[in-house]
Amino acid sequence: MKALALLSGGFDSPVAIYLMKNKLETDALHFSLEPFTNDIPEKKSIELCKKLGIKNLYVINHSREHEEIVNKCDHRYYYVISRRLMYKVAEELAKKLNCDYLLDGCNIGQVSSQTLSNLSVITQAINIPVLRPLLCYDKDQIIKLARKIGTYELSKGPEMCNILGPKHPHTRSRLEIIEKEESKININKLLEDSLKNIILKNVIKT
Amino acid sequence: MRYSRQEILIGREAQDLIRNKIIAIVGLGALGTNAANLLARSGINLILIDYDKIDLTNLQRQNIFTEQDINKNKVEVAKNYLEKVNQDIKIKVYNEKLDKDNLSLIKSDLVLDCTDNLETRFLINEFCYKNNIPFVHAAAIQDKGVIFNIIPGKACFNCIYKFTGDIERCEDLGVLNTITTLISSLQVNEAIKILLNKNYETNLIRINLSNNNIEKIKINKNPNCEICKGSSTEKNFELKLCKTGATLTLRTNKPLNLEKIRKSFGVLRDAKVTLLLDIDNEQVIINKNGEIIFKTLRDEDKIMRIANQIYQIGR
Repeated sequence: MKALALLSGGFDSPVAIYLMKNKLETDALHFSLEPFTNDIPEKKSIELCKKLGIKNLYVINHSREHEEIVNKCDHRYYYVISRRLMYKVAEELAKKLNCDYLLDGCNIGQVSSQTLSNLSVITQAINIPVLRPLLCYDKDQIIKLARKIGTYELSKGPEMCNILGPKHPHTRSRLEIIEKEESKININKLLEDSLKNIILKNVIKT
Repeated sequence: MRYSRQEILIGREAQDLIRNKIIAIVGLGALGTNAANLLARSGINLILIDYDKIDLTNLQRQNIFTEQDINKNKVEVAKNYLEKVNQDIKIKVYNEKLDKDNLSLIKSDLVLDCTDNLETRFLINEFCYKNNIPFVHAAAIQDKGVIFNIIPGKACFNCIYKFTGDIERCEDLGVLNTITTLISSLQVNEAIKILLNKNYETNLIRINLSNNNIEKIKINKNPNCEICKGSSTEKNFELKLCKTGATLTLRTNKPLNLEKIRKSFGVLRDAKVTLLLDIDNEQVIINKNGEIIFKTLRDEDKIMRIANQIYQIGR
C-alpha cells in the first residue's frame, strides 16, 4: 500500500507520516507559495523527508492558484477553497503515482480554519481516502512526538506565515456555499495548471 | 572594563546595544552639557548642535566648560572635552542654529531637547514625529524642571504646549545648577530606557526643588493636535520580528489604500488584499490592513524609509 503525504514543513505532517511509516510506502507533496513566502518551507520539507526516509518529494508552486482564489472568491473562505484545490491536485498526483491514500497532519481544534465542518467540506472535494492519524491529537502531544522522532528541530525554525489568509476565516462552511464561490474560478484550469508545475525532488537519504 | 559598573545593572547585551546608538543633543546649555557628559561616559555616540559661544555666566551650571573656554564655540570645546573622557565613542558637532532648513542634522536614534526656546522645540517635535524618532523634552528654570518622553505614535509636544512668543528665560528669572543637573540626569536616564525599550516613563514629570515636590502627570493625545492628528495612526507603527523570527514586520491600525500603492510602486504579484512589491530592489509584502512585511531586509533605517514612503502614499 502506498500513500501520498501532504507535507507543509510545520510540526504536524511529519508526525503523521511517522505514525504511518511502517504500514505504508510514502511519497510526499509540498505546495510552495513563493514568492508570497520565502523558500524556507520548501527547504524544511526537503530536510524532513530526509529525516523521515522519504525518497520522493513533489513540489508544486501554488502561488498563482492561491492568488486567483484571493482575487475572485470570498476571502473568508480562502482556506477551505484553497485546500479543496490542493487536495484535488494531490488526488490527481496520487492516481498517477498509484497511491491508495492521501495522508495529512490535520487535527481539529488547533486553528480556526481546521474545524470538523471545514475538514468535511475540504474532504468532499475528492474521492480518494484520506488518512488523518493526528485528527484528535492536541498540540502538546504532537510537539512531544515531534521532539521524540527528531523532526521538532527541523520544523521549528523561522518561517513566514501565509500572508494571503484572512484575519478571521469562516470556521463553518457549507458545501453549497463553497461550490458557489468556486464557480467564480475555473477549478479545472487551475487543477491542470497545478499539475503542470510539479517538480520532483529526489531526496537523498542520509 | 570601562563600563563594568553600569553593565552590572543594565547587562552586557544592553551595553552592546547602546554602543551602536546615536543620540542628538540640541542645545549645549546646562541641560545639554550635563547630558552630553553623562552619555559620553555611558558609551553612547553623540551629535551635538549649538551655535553659541561660552561666556562667564555659563560656568555656574554648564559643567564641562572652564574659564579657559570663554569665547570659544560650545560644540568644539564640548567635543574636545568629551573625547578626552571617552575616545571609544563617535562625536559629531555642528556649530549651527537649528532651523527648518538644517533640521535633518538631528537624524539619530533619539533626540534630547535641551534648547531654551519653544520655536526649536516645535521644529524638533515635527521632525521627530515624521521620522519616527523618540525625543525627550526637558526644561528647567529657577528651581523647577520638567521632562517628558515623546514617543512616536503617542502624545507629542504639540499636544500639550501652545506656541507663544514669550517664554520665561533663565537670564531674567534665574536658575539653579541643582535643578538643571537633576533634570538632565533624569532626561539621560529616560533616553537610555527608551533606547533599551525598557520601562520608560509615560507621564510628564515636574519637579519643584523648593518643596521637593515631584508630580507625575498623565498626558493624553490631543485629538485636535495639528502634528499628530490624522497622521497619528500611521505613525503609530511598531517594527517587530514576526512570531517565528523569519521576517521584520510593521503593523498599523490604519488600512492602506492599495489602489494608490499599485500606481506608485512596482507590483510583482497582486492578490487583491495583498501585494508583493519591488521597492529599491527589496521584496516587500503589504496588505490592506496596513501590515508591511520585509521578506529579507533587516536594515532598520531602510525599512523605516520604505515604510514611510508606503504610508505616505497609501494613507
